[in-house]
Amino acid sequence: MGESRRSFLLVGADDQSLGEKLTWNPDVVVLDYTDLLHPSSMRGSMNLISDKVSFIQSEGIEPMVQIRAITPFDDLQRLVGAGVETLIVSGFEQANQVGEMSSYLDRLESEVGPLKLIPYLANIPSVYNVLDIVDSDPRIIAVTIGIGDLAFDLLESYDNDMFYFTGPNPRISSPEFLITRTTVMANSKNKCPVMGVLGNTIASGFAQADQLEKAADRAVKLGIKSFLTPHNEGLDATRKAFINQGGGV
Amino acid sequence: MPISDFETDHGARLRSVRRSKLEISAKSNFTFKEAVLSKPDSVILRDLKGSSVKIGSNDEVQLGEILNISRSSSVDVFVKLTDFLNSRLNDFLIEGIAGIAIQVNDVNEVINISNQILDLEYSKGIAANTFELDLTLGTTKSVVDCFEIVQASSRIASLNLDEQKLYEDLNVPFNGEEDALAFSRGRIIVAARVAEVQAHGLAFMNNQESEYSLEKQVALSRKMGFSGACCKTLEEISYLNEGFAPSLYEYERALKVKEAMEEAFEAGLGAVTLGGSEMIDVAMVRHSENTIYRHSAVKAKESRMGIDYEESDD
Repeated sequence: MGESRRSFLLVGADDQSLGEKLTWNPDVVVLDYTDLLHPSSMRGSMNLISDKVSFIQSEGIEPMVQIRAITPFDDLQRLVGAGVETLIVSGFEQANQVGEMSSYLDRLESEVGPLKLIPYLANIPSVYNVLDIVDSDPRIIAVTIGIGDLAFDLLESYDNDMFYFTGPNPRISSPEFLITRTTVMANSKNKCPVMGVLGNTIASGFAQADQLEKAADRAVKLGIKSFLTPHNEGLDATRKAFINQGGGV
Repeated sequence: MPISDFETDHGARLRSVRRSKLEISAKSNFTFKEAVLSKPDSVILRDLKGSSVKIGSNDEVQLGEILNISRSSSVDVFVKLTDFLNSRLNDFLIEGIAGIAIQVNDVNEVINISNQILDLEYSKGIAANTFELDLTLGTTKSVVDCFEIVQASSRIASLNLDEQKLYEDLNVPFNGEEDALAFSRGRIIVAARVAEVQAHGLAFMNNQESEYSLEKQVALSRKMGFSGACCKTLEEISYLNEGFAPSLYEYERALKVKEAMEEAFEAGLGAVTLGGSEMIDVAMVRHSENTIYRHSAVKAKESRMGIDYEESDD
């Protein structure tokens, strides 16, 4: 698919409405095994991964998964064995943590072929170390920066306003700095693109379409190349933001 | 009693006055004479053929003539190189040239060019480290490595960003609405300060907004830490020269702050009121000394250039 992947739809790995969401026409569907999946559903969802991946592929859409950095080898084996080639991984704070997963992937690649990684930078240490993280494994094809997640990581108090922006986020004192630092650092290593996160809550039905469009528009102009979003409105905002703009992962 | 070590550390960074750097090329729509009369602090010659410089569609001036004029008008002359070929350096590096303007991507390129210049200085009997380097960074790699790059040679006088090339490297179309180089600007300003050299460039401003003006953009640029900027038209020069210099108000206030703090320091105080209402403290002395020193450097440069600007009191 080259650089055509701009819209990444994030769905819980046990999402019962996956069929409906495939009609939203994302470039990629990311089955989430982190925050969108209740721990009690983990085993059951792992057992159904082959069916889910086949279903997504049958609609001509690329499947990916989002997992935690501490995912056990057996689960990784199950995921890539089902046909998932790209793993979005949250929880890497330093390059050596990528190395641990890389050793797992070295073993798995002999069975399933080449695999790719997209580290999800969800806290301040991970953003600070982006240069080393991007340089730590040639499998890395992009990084994801969640400005809202970074605000959560920094702030000590609840702030309702924050839920209205998770593109460039005014609750972070300098979103331009955070985004442009990440794009420059990542680009300097193999031209690694940066994916943004576009959503105000993982709860369905609460998307703020106009705010998502503004956030996506700003983020693309600052150098973001694609978006991960749980909302249909986020997919629309992504498509609008990339009109006449280059991008893609 | 001295209350700072100003002269010993970063005075050198402020001494060089290159507020306006006029790029002169075959595309220029002015003659060299018109360029000099517009009083840029320095010129960057782009299109050299042998020992002559192509300026605009008709004007072709000998490098020697340019240096004669620049000497008498105190304009610093840089030659822009697009490659590292020693043969071209040999043509251009002659007495009177301030240095080379060149785009670099990494530390090794800086060391390479600097060593080539040193060899030429030696072979031509010119004092070592006479020629300066005005470096431009146009890739994300060079921006990330800029702390090492700027400290790779004592010849480096200034750092610049090639914004167009950086946008291309990032594969972001320039839009004028968002600053995709926000981090890059801040990084070269800090790196330049670390190496005691100047950062040149302009702050980002949304140029589609009604309140945009070059005057405001230059003022913002100076506040960010830039000391000068390149330009391609004669009309921009006066904005850069004025905007990148302390105003008379800033200068006079700096004198008052320094005087008040020196008196306070003698009296064993670390803070004192200025004008009866504004509290100032010893930390502000450094800024005041910067302003005073920079003002003196600008005035000295303008005096050499034969300029007697009426000072604004903004």
